[in-house]
This record gives sequence, C-alpha cells and structure tokens, in this order.
Amino acid sequence: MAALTLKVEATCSTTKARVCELSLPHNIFNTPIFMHVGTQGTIKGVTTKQLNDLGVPIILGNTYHLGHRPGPDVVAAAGGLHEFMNWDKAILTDSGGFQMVSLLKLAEFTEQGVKFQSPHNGTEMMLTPEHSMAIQNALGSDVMMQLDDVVSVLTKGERMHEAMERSVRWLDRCQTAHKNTIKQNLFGIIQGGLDPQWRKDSLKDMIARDCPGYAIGGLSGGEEKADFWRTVSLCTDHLPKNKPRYLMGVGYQVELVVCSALGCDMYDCVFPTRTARFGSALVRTGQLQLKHKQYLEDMSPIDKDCSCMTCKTYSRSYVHSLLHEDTTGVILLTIHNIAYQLRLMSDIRQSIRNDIFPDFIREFFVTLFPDRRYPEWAVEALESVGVKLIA
Amino acid sequence: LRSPGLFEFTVCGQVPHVTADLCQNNGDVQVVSLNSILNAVPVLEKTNTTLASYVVTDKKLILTPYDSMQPLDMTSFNEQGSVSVWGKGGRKKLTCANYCNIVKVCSPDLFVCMADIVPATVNRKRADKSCYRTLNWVNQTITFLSDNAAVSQMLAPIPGSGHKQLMMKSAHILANRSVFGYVIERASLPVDGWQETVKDVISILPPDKPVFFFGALNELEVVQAYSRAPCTHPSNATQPGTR
Repeated sequence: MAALTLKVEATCSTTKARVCELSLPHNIFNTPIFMHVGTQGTIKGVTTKQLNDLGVPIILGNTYHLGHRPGPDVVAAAGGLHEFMNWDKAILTDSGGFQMVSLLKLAEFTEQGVKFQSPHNGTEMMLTPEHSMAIQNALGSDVMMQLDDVVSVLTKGERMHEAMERSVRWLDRCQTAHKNTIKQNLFGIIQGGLDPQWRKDSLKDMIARDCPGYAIGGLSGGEEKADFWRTVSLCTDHLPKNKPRYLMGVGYQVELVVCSALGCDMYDCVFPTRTARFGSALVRTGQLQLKHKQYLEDMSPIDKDCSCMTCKTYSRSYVHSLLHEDTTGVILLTIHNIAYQLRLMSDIRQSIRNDIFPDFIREFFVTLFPDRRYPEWAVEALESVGVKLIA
Repeated sequence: LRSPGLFEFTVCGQVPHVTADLCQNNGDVQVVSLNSILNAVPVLEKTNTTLASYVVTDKKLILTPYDSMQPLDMTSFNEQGSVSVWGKGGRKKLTCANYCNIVKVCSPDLFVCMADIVPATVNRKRADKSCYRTLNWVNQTITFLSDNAAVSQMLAPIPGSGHKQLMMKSAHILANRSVFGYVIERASLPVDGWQETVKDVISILPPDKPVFFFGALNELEVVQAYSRAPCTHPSNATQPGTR
C-alpha cells in the first residue's frame, strides 16, 4: 500500500483550485490545508489534546531543531516523533536546509552538504542529504522534505542556478538514503528562484524523479509579489495533477486564498502562531492587536463566528487582561489563530466543492479590504485564473 | 470546601501557563490576587460583571489583596491608611474603603481582608505596626460591609510575621470577630521553626472556622501544616512548578 494517495474530489470550474483527499500513514484529510508549525515537536503552549480538540490534522516539525534537541536517537528510542510528542495525526518534517541559511551566520554550502558551526557548542558540523534523511527516518514523519540548496530568492546569477541543479542532485542522494519508503513520503522541492526557465528545468528534473509530492520552495523571502505569484502559477501549471503541491512558507490569509486559486494544496508558516504570541488575533477583517487598551472594555468574543474554545468562553477584555499578566493569554490567542486558519481553509474547500469559489474570493476580499484597495498582485494573480476582483 | 484540600493558585483566573480547559480536575477553589485583575475592576464595575463571570469559572473564587506567591519585598510602600498594589499600570494605593468596594464589585465567594502582611525578617516595631494596621482594617471591613452579604465571607489574615507573641495576640483578637475563617501567610513566616508557632496560634482560633495556609509550600510543608491543624487548607503550590 502506498504511503500517500491523493484523490481529487472537486475542481473549481473557474480557477485552478481543487479539493483533494490526501491519505497519509497517520491521517486522511482534505486539501487545501494549512499546516501549523511545531518546530521543536510542539506548537508553543498548546497541548496535543488541544490540537486534537481543534481538529488539526497535520503539523510541522523541524529536522534541524529536533536533530539537535532531543536528537534522533532519543526520538527513535521513544518510537518516533509521534510517540515522543503523543500526537497520532500526520507530521511533516522540513529538512533543516532553510534553518542553515536563516539561523546560522557561518553556514557554507558545498556539494557534500551544508557545513556550519553548531549554535550549541560551536563545533563544526555537516548536514548532508544522507544525514537529513537519517534524522527524518528516525523521526518517522509522514512527509519528509529533501535537503535542498537554499539561497535567498533575491540571489541573482549563477549561484541560483547552481543551487537549483544541486538540489536535484541532492534529491537523488535523499532518495537513495531514504530507508522507509513504505511509511514515509519524500517530497522534492522545486527551486530556480524567480527565473522561469530555471524553474521549468527544476520542474522537469524533479518530476522525472517521481516523488510522492512536490513543494514549491525558495519563495516568500522578500521578493516582489508580482514575481511570487507568477512563479507559483508557473509551478502549478507544470506539477503533476495527481500529486500534492506544497507551497512552503506561506500563511497570510490573502496568500492562502490567492494561491489556492492558483492550484496549491498545502501551506505552512509560523505567522499565525507567532503573531498570537505578540498578542494579535486573526479575523476576517484582518488582525486585532488585543494588547491595545481599547480592548479592555470590549466584552465581545474575539470572533463571534469562531467556535474555538477561546471565542466560545472568553471576552476580548479578558484576553487583553491576561495578555499583560500571564502566558495563558497568548495560549488562548494561539488556539484561536489555529482555529481561524482551519476555518478559513475549510471555507475555501467548501466553496470549491460548491463551485462558488470565485464568489467566496470576492466576498473575502471585500471583507478584508472594505475600501476596495486590493493588493495589485492579488488582483493580477486572480485575474490570471479568471477571477475579476475589480469590475 | 473539603478539608484537607488544596486551592488552585491563579493569575487573573488562570493557572500560570496552563489554560483552564486543562485544569478541570484541579479541585473546586481558585485563588485570585488583586494585582492580576486590578486594571479590569473598573470594567467589571461599569458592566456589572462579577469576577467569576469575567474569568469564566464555575469554581469558587477567593480574592486576595496581595499575591501570596510573591516575596513580600514591597511592603514598605504600605501606609497607615492604605496598601500598595501593583497592576499593569503601576502602583495603586488602596484604602480599606477602596478594597471593600472592589470586593462588592467582584463578588467573590470568599475574600481575604486587606492586610499589612510583612516578611518575618522585619523588626519587632514593624511587625507590631503591621498587627495594628491589619486588625484595624478587619474592623473597618466589618463596618464597611455591614450591609452587604460579603461581610460573612471574609477571611482574616493573622499578622505578626512569625513573632509568636504578636501572632497569638492577634489571634486572640480575631477569634472574637465575625469572620468566615482565617489565613496564615507562608511568606510572612520564618524559614525554620514556624510549625510550632502556627500550631499554637491555631489552637486559639475557633475550631469551627477554617484556617487557610497560603503561599508557596513544598510537599513537606503541606504535610507539616496539616499535622498541626486538622482544618488547615494549604494553598496549591502550582507557582513554583510552573514558573
């Protein structure tokens, strides 16, 4: 039995959006789906029981962090990451490559792997494709990401091309080193920066490797949004329809709606949970910064349409008070933001099923931008798939 | 309230770092200190909301004017007619009348009377002053709340800060007051040797009224407190574990 199957259940007759049933070893759920990030084996402050109560079907863990602490041997001895964190739904692990660039000042990419100084004790270490696979095999995640040569999306010239080609070679090494193909799915990551031809080359080479799924990587790194959506659209045009498309590092609600219209199935981002820790609640009209004193006297729930424990139980005033006193305030906001993202994606899926996704998009944008000053990139992106925001 | 029993220490109605949905089996009584809800009191008054409704709990609430888990290192700001409480906006001076009004607004199931509780390291003169102030405020509270049901829900703290003579004298006076029960603060007692003092103090108090022991107690101290007074209710020591 395959470790992953994808069944397309509904397609939008206007855009490239689709609803799929994605079956993984630990869970079956529908896409488009937003995956919350539990970098070190936990979504900060939220227990697995609370995640289950929210209906979260899949979370992200990170190979770089978990590979250091507690380490693959400890996790393997516990029976894998699912047992270690008492989580029985799906887990996707990133390879650690992005952290090499984002966290480490002295990371050096070579053909062998990524050489860096351990942030814990300063010793020189090497993360290779084989090493990343060994860690992820020990973690036992449902979906594993290849180790890719990560460069800033703003990098120009031959370095970007080199990274794209090296990522293909590293995928080969990852596939060779991957020891658990029965229960774990290794996704390839499409690279190539913002260059359409390099992206097409990456797509061609990666698709030829017949991975169970593909990620669109190397974006959301400060590029112009006009380049962002065009690159996403190019990738979804060429990626196989019978495999999931995972757009990495995307989590703002506008991007989730637009990129679903462009044909993406899976997303991850630290934004919803991180912004909660700064006191910000996600709502359809944008964000509420609940630390602001205006909320001290607001006895209404954060979102009257939200069925999360926070909104069903507590007032904005109370959450505001808590935010200044104890971490339970940010935990309640985290719970709400997780629920919000789940509900947004559920609404997207339902509108696709009912073939009214364009109407949903228009209503969504009017709610979020009541002055109708829509982001230009979103207008263009949606127009490219047949949705006119502006008549 | 079942004795022996533990109360749940909370910050603004939540156990520190743990949301209430995970604490359903922690018992039936929560302690809320005034400093954590100070800024919300005007809102409660304006919207006619009780504290229990605000923090959304069906557990019994005990309101205290000070945080029993914090060291008593700011008591020098207390004065003859007021105590200082620190909320988000900074220091707020409260008279006995102010605090009684807060009690009426919050409507807790029980409340600890305003008190000048000081650490055991203070000298005799300061400890004496704390006794005078606290006993005075107990009397004032009884007067201020004489027409309010809340008066029957008052817990009187035993001042004296570990000075046995002062504590016993205070206990004799408070034994004759119409209060629901009594509170002994661990933070005001010395590190060692408090057990016998507490035992002797409790022996003076009416046996039909509970004595609550508040503060950051370790397991041994909880057992010791129980062994000295069958009806003592130690406060839950969640604070050291979660912070």
